[in-house]
Amino acid sequence: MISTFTGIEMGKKSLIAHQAAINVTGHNVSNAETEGYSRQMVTFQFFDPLYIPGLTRENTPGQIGQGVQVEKIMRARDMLLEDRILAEKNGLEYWKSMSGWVYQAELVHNEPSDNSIMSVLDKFWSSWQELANNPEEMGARESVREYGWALSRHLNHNFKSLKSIRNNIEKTVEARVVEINSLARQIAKLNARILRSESAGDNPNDLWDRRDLLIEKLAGYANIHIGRNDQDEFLVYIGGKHLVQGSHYEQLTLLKNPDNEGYSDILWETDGSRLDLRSGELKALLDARDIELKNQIDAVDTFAVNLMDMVNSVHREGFGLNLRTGLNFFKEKPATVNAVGDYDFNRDGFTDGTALFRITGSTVLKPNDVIGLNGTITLNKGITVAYGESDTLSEVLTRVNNSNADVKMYVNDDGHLVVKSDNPGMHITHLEDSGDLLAGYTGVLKASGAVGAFDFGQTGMATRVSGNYLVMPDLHPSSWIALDDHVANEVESIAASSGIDTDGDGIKDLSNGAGSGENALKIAGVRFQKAMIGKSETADEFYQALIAGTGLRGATAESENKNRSLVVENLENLRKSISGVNIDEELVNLVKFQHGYAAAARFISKVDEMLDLLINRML
Amino acid sequence: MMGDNLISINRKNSEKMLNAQNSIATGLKHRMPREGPVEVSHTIAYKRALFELGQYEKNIDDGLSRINMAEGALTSGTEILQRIRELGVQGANGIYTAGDRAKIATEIDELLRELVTIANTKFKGKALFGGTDTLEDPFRVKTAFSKAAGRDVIDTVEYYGDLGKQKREIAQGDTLAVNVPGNELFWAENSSLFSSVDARNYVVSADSKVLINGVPVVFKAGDNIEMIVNRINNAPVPVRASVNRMNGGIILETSSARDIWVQDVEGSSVMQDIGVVSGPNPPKNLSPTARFFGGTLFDMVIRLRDSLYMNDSEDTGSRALGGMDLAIENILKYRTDLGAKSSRLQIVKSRITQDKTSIEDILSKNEDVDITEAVTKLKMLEVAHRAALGVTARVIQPTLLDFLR
Repeated sequence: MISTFTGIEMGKKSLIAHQAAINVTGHNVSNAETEGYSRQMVTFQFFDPLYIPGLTRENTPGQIGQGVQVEKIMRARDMLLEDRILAEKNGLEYWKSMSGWVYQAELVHNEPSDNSIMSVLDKFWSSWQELANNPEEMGARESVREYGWALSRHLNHNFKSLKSIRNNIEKTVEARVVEINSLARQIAKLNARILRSESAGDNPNDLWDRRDLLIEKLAGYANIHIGRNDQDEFLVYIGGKHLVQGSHYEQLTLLKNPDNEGYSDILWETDGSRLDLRSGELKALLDARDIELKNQIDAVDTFAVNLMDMVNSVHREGFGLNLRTGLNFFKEKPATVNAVGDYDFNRDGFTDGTALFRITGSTVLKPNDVIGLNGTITLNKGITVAYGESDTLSEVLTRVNNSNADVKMYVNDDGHLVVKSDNPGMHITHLEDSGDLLAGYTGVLKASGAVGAFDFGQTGMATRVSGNYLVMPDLHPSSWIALDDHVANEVESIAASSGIDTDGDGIKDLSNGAGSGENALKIAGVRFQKAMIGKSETADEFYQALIAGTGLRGATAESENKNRSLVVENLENLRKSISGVNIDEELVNLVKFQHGYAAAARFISKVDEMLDLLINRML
Repeated sequence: MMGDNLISINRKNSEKMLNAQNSIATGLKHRMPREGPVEVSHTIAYKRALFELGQYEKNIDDGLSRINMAEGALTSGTEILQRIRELGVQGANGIYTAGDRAKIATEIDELLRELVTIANTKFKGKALFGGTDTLEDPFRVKTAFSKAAGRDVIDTVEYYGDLGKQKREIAQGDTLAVNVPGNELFWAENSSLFSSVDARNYVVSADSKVLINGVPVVFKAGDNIEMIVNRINNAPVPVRASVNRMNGGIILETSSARDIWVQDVEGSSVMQDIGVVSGPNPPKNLSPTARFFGGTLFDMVIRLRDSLYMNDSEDTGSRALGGMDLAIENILKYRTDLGAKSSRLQIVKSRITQDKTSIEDILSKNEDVDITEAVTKLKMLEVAHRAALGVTARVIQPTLLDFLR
């Protein structure tokens, strides 16, 4: 027999259910613009009908339902889509960040414009030509000094700007690591709360949303991998190691690396192992800091040191108006402890090697002569270059320059062979020749074979060098390149005139006269000297290649960034169409639920009327 | 969601429009290397080429003005020489008396002073005919009292400049000397030098290098006098060497009118040993024991003047006037030479002007915005932007809220 008050009870359930639905609709509307919020939906379910199978079963036809109840409140979210967004997001953030840093480097070079290194360089070379035209004139000398000064200031400035970009990246890395640590902590805490409500059978929709939002942020920083399979433990990995495991989390830490100019490595706090990054903003930061910007600085340094050495080598040969000779035009600042290149490579306080940047052979050669010698040159990393009797010198040099060794060789305008370092370390590592090419023919080394080999790993190796040499310059030549004091203080010292050696000691000691601008002309010719810097032939080309390379990498980063943001935008639109709150839809629901609520209320008042009739009127 | 999409589309449109406006405003296609890495690197190369050509043009202009100046000086020099020659011809005429000749000689002495001034011509305050020794007058005059003239006359005119060439780069690696040193220009006779040192048993003790008229000649240890002569004759020097059969001394002779300059360098002493020079560095280092023949243009004028003072009309008519002819001939030779250089420079200059025009054209194509195209593009973007904004305004308006009470 059905209870008298079944109707009221049923009406109450309906009122409660619709009220809940209206509340959820209100929640949705309130959070329509909340970041990371997913639309929630109420699932109604009919209440189990009164029906107990058994002997006491009421013998009535059919079952009478017992009304409605709220089964669950679900959020509309597609987790597969979510994972795709995470995967795309870390690629996007990588290129977005990279594009920004390369952009800053491009701004430093300030090309194309009339106020860049290239334009100052043009004026610098021209000022030497002008000096060659008027070697006696102070005005022409002043102009050489001014442009020399401007050129070194430009290099100093570029170095400073590039270095400060690198420092900014370092600061960003520090900030990002702090953020990642905080995200890991928050996710772990959320995990604990989520687990508690899940085990109580609830759907912690808002907590899930919040966690998804944090994870999305994390995905922008690093290449994370999410483990959702274990109900009890939500996992977040970076590069195969877990950052978050349920309510447990790991932290990252920074360690300054002395081999990388004090820039930090990112390590796991627990075991000190290196964080394995594949993409995401953090990876972009490290790549920009340790590859892009480092290469930029290395290139500016290489340019500065080559320019300095080539101009100085010619300048020392010339004579000033005050008849001074043997002076440098740019200041030289050796890194070594003495003039023979002894250097402390492992920084233990004792010299342990010989650091030479450049060696110039003592003999005068013609590059296209057949050398008529047999032998093998051994360079760093065991790279060997063999030469035979019928080779010309220039053929051998081309082979050396293409051998990927860390030295480059060329014959300068005076016909001497120049061997110079072409690695960022700015010192020659190994030179050995089984034949007589390096020793007798070009006069670079004193003896051939292993006994005469030059190797940077021992002190005093400069005694094995036969020609003149330049010891390793101090770190970052572009940061300290400046005019030599003599030139800076007295323009008469600028060596425009050529001279001759009268007493046979190999040093020119008699000027060809104030009207001789021959040496200035030779310095102006340095710009065309095929000095093999990096993969370029001349200093100008080298700098031009640097600009073009920077531009190309900038263009790549920007187009990758654009493409990926398009993909992410589309995916996010897709997500919005699933999870986003549509006000119209919510309003329709509101009207629907409101009507349901009103109908339930009407039902209760009808049942009330029936009971009123039954109880009060039947007397 | 629709709103978000419209926002992002509008943002992209604005960005494109900003770019289009920027390129119209600056007139440049690319403002950053990333906007066209290859074009930007070409722009740099073209600009550099333009700058270089501009410098070569300046070098040529400098060279041309020097040459013009020198040509001007030589023109008036030639006129004076012609005048002196006419006076000489007049003086050789037998009808003149000794007094007449002395007057002519005095006029010649005045003209000679003028010639020396021309030889010391300055360009921008620097000696034009001193080789690369430009700070002081290349020709220095010594005067002495002449009884015949009854006053101080020019006794000697000596050259203190050097052989240096002032080179101008007129194309990459291509240089041209734009000066002629005074000891070639103002010379009249071939020079010759007879050493008085017997070198038949002389052997070069160590590898040595000497400069003969500025050209290096290298002797090897063990060379005898024959080898020395051979090496000099095989080198590209304007001097012929031979051995004097009379005394075994070396003889040096120039092949054209110019001075002999010998310099022992890099510690060599060969030329000193065989009695050619007494000191290492010219000028005035030729050995006093050697006999030297050959005269400058000034020597020729002085000889003519003195023969007039001495009233030796026969010498005036033959040897002295002959010397004048040599002097005029030599100057004319270098005038032709300078004229040829000048026209070569003009040709190179006009080629540079052409090159500059064509590079400027390429540069403009490479970096300048086609304004018509850019404006059309901007207009199209504007239309699209307007449409997007219009749609945004329309789409956002109606919601169900508008219809609910």
